[in-house]
Amino acid sequence: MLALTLNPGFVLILAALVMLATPRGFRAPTMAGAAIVALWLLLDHEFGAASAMAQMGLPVVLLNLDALNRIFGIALLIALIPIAIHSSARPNRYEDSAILLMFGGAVSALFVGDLISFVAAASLAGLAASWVTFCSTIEDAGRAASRLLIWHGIEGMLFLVGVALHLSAGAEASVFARMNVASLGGVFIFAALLIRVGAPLAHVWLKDSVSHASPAGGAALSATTTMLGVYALARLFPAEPALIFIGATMIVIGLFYLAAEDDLRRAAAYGLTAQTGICVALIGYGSPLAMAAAEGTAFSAIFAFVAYQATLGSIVDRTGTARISTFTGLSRAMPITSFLLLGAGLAVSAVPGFALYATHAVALDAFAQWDTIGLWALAAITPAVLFISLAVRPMLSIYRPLPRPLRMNEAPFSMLLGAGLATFFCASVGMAPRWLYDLMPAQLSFQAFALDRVAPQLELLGVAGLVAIAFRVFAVAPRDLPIQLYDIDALYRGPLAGAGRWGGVLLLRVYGAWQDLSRRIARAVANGAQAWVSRCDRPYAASISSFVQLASIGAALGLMLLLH
Amino acid sequence: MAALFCAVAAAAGLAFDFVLRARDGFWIGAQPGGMAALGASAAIFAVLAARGARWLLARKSQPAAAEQQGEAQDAGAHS
Repeated sequence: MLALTLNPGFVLILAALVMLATPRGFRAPTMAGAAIVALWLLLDHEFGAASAMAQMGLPVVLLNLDALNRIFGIALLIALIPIAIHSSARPNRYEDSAILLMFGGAVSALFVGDLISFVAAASLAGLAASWVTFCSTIEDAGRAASRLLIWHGIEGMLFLVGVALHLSAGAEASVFARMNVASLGGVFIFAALLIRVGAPLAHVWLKDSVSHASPAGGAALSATTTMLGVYALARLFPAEPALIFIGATMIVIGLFYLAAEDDLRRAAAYGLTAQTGICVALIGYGSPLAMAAAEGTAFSAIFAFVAYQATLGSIVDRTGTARISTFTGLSRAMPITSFLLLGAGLAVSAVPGFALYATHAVALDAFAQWDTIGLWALAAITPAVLFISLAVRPMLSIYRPLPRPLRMNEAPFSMLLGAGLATFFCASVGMAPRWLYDLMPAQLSFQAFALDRVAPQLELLGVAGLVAIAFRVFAVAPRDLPIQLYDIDALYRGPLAGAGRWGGVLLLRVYGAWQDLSRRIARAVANGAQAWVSRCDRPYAASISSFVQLASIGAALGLMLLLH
Repeated sequence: MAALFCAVAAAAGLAFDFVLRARDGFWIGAQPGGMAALGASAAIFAVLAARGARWLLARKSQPAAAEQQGEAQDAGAHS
């Protein structure tokens, strides 16, 4: 029972239950307080497994702390604090509870030491993520949540099959440690984790759920969902070469849609996919520096994208949308939010002085080999495309004057405070990254602010921004129009859904026809049997059929006697 | 302001890059000035991606209507 209280994630899960009965004014303090208590539990504990018990012959390790899960845990628990402040702006106890449950599931999954507990906690986090989306009042959020539920259902099924096959190798196999992707159980678990990180073909659930979630829900989903998958891949499949190609594809897909999307919440979700792709590729590369860079990039991306989505949430709260095409003149109506969006945009773009820069520099060093030139170039170009899409484009729209200023109020103070706090975390870690490097599992002596590292990054972002502005001025870049882009989900929401619908109709008709045919056959057989039996009541009726009937009965009796 | 910010960053970055860094990058992109080329490539990529995506993947109707149309085709709508 003591072990139950020691996993920091369980504090959040208990707080999620308490949240359902907590008055509105106490909900944000309860969320933030639960995060602080969990953080205290985490930092107070020594590395190693706390305790283990056996269930059905399998070891259950509810807390196993090491440097890898500690860095992810600290990031998630600190990120929960600005989200708690941000969420206090609207009265929805169910969403608050869902957010806490999602964080609780994710943090629990980080710290458990056996495979079964990990799958249970990760599934809880997935279900809670769907619940967060269900709680949104944005149009069609329910359907987006249903789709997310289906994705997590598929993921859970793959997990269960993988764990079952893996455990068939013996009880020791339930330890949450490195796996072989070539084994049957390993490949199922690998596939489940690819869904969780938003690998190509499964990347659509992130932008779908984030863009339909509430303002606070979008930030919370950005923090917990894909990064749990990154942690699990780092734990279970480090240096797996397939991850390099998967990560590279994620970067390309993310950057492509990021540059084209009009809805900034979707664009930021694609940006997160690109950053997650960098983490996945680094894990696939697998050198100690690459692993450290992956963990650091995940840590920084959590804060940066929470800050960005929280700021966008402030805009969504007031205008109902986060489309760049509707941003014109917004700086007059929402000056603080506009400033925060600029800050968060710089944070996600790895501008020197923000956390993502400090870890991006490590990632570039990790890829700086002749055989990984392509990855190095992709990783180098990512902040530039993020800068153009999430900082320059919105700023050019927001600060463009309107003839008649927009009439709306600034976002609620708590939303601004939450978004500002998340951006402040990015800046504070970015200004003094030493403590982040000290948290990493590999001992890292890295000078992020050496001029030969800062100068190229400034050069990259500055030139990219200048060229992008020039393209905008000379109308080479397309205008911001209220469009939506098809992604792979258009396939299963369009043609595949249509094919499924027609297939269903066809099968229903075949089933109806089969039922009709079987009913007719049964009726004909029943009528024949009834007629035959009824003739038994009239054995002396003068007809040839009666004779045949009597003869057949006599033959049957004779045969029975003969056999007897 | 955005142009000024970018110009200052680009000028400072290029100046320090050419003055301080040795020409020993592991490939041409990692040598002085290489990041500027990559930045310009990123801007070109962003324009090409935006134009290409709008040409190939954009829904033609208004967003709200398009969203409704897309959702109406959702398999979940028939459950």
